[in-house]
Amino acid sequence: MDDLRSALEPLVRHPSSAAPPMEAIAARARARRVRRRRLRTGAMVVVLVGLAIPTWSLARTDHAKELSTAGQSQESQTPDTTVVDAPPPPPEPAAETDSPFGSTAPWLAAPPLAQADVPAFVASWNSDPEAQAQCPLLAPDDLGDGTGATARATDRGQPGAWWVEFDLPGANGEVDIQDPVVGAGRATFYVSAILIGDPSGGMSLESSVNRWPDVQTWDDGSMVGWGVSGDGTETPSQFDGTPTAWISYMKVQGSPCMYQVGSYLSRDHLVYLISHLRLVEGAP
Amino acid sequence: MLGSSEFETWYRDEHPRLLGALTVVAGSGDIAADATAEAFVRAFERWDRVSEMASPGGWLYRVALNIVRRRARRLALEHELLRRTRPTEEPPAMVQPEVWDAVRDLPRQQRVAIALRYVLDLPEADVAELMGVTRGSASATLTTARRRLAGVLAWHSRDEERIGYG
Repeated sequence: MDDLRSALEPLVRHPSSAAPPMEAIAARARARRVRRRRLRTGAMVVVLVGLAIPTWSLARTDHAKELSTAGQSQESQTPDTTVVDAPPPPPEPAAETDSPFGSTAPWLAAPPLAQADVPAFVASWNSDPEAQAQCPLLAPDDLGDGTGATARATDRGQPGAWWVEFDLPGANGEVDIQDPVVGAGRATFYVSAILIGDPSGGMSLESSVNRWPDVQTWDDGSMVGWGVSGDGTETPSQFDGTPTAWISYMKVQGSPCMYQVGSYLSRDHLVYLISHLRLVEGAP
Repeated sequence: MLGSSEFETWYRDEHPRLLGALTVVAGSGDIAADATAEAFVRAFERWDRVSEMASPGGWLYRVALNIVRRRARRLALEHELLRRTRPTEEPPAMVQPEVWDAVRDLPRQQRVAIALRYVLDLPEADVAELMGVTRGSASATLTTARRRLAGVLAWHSRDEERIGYG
């Protein structure tokens, strides 16, 4: 079948298939090492916590036994007035230490925003009655590294959704849906909510959120999972120059909608945006 | 680094072939480029062991196919969940669009078989091993794929002939 071989051969022979410089491989390997180190640190914390709790329980049991024995031998001599020392508090759970978020969902830990402060969000929310009924509005009260960006209510042609994109001149973004371009200056970051259409499809909000490498569950049951779009690992850049998008899936307790926050600026910026999400007055 | 020049030579030789094969498997130049890079990074990190293997290429192809599978799955999830418009991937400029469309429309297993056999030029036994199937099964998959592509390839050949006569 030489005709098939020759039809596909240009994929191999074309100059664009040539290997990028070795430095790109070395840089990517360094980024992987950093990520692994971070994961190892997290794992060590989990192990230490795992060891600390039983050790503390054991110590407490031994301490109680000692007191009990001592008490029995002293019973005949003096009344037991020993005050048991309070045991050391167990360490905080690892998830709390590792996560960039607190234990309370950000929008429950701060007062809501006024509608006048987030007109693009309100416009998008008002434009879709289905989303309005099911997907409470969440908007960031601060844009962090994205300060100066312009919010734009976006029509993604998606029923049951509200969607706001932020344009930041000169920054990476999307010129069209999922068409990432360096320096696009459009859709550099965004916040959205989409009513998941087919609950019988077997895909729950939780399982979707849980597929991401980093996941946080808040006290009220809301959740967020985040990472690099199209992948579960961080990549500093792609060899063909395509900018990297960090995105998150979020479940807001009580809503059947999938919330999504994304940023082309950085992982830290994505986390910042999520941390600053607030409810909006009159848009529950 | 010890053996880094040996790695670099291997990397330069293998890169075009792997990228071409993954482009066929993924049906996307972007996913293929990223998965190719990731596979070479993993080989680079373990080069002392990979270089000692009977077939470093075989190890590389297996890793790369796994990466593509994982990424394709996550992208599919993003599309399904968010009902976002699936981006229309431009065909690679160097391949006839009708050939590309026909290859991309093949089921995944057939694309993998075609990529391994006709882009990486591996013998059928190696194709079967990398796909984790028997040789008979790999052979049958290749036959089915070739049959599906026969029509478009015939047109492609005729076009080339016409261009040649012109």
